[in-house]
Amino acid sequence: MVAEVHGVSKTYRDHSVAALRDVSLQLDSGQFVAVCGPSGCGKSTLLLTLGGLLRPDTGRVVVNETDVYGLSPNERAAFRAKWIGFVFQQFHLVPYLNVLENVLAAELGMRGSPPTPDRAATLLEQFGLADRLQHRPGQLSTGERQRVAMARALLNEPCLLLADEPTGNLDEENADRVLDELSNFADRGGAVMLVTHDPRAASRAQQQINLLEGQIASDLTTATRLE
Amino acid sequence: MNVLRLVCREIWHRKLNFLVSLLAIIVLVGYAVGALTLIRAQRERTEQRVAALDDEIRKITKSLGFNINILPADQNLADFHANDFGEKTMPFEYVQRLAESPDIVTINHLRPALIRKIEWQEQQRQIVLMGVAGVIPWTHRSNPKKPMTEAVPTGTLNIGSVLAEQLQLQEGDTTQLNGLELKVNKIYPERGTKDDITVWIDLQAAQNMLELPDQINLIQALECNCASVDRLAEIEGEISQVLGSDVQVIELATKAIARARARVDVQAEGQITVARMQDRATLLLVLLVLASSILVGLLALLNVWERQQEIGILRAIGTSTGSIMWMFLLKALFVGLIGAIIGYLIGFGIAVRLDEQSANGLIVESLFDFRMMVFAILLAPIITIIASWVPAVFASNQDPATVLSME
Repeated sequence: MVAEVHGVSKTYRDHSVAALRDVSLQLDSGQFVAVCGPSGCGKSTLLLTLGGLLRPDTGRVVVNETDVYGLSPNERAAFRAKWIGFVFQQFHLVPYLNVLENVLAAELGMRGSPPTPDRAATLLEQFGLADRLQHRPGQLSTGERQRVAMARALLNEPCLLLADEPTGNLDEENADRVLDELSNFADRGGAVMLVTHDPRAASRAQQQINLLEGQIASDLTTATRLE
Repeated sequence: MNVLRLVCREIWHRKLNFLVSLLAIIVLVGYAVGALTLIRAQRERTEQRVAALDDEIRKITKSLGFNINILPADQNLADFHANDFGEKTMPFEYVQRLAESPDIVTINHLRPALIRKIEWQEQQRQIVLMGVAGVIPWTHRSNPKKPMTEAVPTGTLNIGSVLAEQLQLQEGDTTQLNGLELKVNKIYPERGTKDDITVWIDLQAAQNMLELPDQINLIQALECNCASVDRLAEIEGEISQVLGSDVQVIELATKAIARARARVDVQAEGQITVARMQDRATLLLVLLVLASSILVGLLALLNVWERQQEIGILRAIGTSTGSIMWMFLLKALFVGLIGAIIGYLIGFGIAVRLDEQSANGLIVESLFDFRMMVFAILLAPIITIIASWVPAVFASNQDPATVLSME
């Protein structure tokens, strides 16, 4: 099992409505799960909680057999660097670093021997960006930026990839390319959680979980969620 | 990728933020170094003037010979000045006590003498007879200085030029002085003083001739340049510690005193000027430290605010709080270090230029202070790091979930 969420609830201090209510689910190796639902239903909260960025009020999050919130903040950061990859709708590339350096920024949090620049270059080549290594994010198209963000997420060979609306700003062609990469990652044995509004993107996942008011409303495939 | 490369890239990307911070530190260090260098120049100039006056005093004093007279306490000074010697006597052991005392530091070259106006019976004329014993060595000093006067060898006499000429005496001649056979050892060149009609003989011979065994009526000395403006009181104080109130001290050579007073005045004036410059510089420096620290801190805070998204994603992909903090502190270190070096060069350059325009410009080497340079280069980064500390902590404590949820 790559990731497990056990009875997680989360209420933001400045909101009276609970963002997550007793959510439980599991992600196996090779599994590609899409989390759908209307705005404010708790999709992003679930993703951030699973990614070790947002401590839940109750419940446990286990990734790669480690209780994520049992770690200290710096241990959790190092854990994220090694095991979890993130892709966001806004790409969040560092504007003053070139493409290669943006990908290599993922090694800042790595302990021990970091990946070599060669691996970053190879990844970028896979994503069709071999001739863009020295370009700044401002010089790239939105599709290229998202592919750089994907390469950064994959640099440290994580076991879990969390993608929050990664196709939200992309045209159809680029969106397909990103979704292909997510599928490929799952095919290589990783687990993917895709948060999306886009039914077309959700359809690429093996499993679709619909969230409504912080709770899992439906599970459209063979359910792996814990009761 | 490492933090250093990230910081360098960010500095290049946000040049204005970096340059404004840098400018604040350049102004701070430049002003501090410039002001301190000018103060140093002022102090150096004062020391040079004092040293020049010291040298002048030394030369004047040297040319004047003995300028301190120690007399018996009961000697009438009016009589002493009228005759250039006194009638009253004191024991020879006084000079030995002074020479043996470790408390005497303001005078050099002690020379006892017994002086009387006598009738040179063989020549039937009045002369000044001076019995001298040379310079008495100090017990507690190394006596490195060459004695100012030599003793008159026993059985000889030294004589003033006018008297020698009138008596047709030549060096090497033998003559009788009140029954005492003496060889002319030396004829002094004309001085235009009573010395020209004086005869010097060995002190003991003079004491025997005058029937004043173990008595002297004058101790001559040379004051050193270490005394303050109230040098005579200092010398008197030292001597009275050894001889009590049995003697009195008078000082000759007003030229030397005038120079000594000028030296003290120059020193005091220099100290006042330096103190005034220091007061002004300190006030402005404190204000500049505060202003530049606040500016650097605010710019660092602005930098943190601008980079919230970047910090959020770096934290999300695993960068530790320590590395985030180091990103900002390293930048502060660069601002401090580069600002200090440029500020030092500018401040020092301006100070040298200003000093060159003053009346007695000093050479660059004498204005350069290695410790000040090291101090500036170390202190400026400390200031920028302290000023950036709170923004750096603020950045490292940013919640990435909050930042990433803002999409």
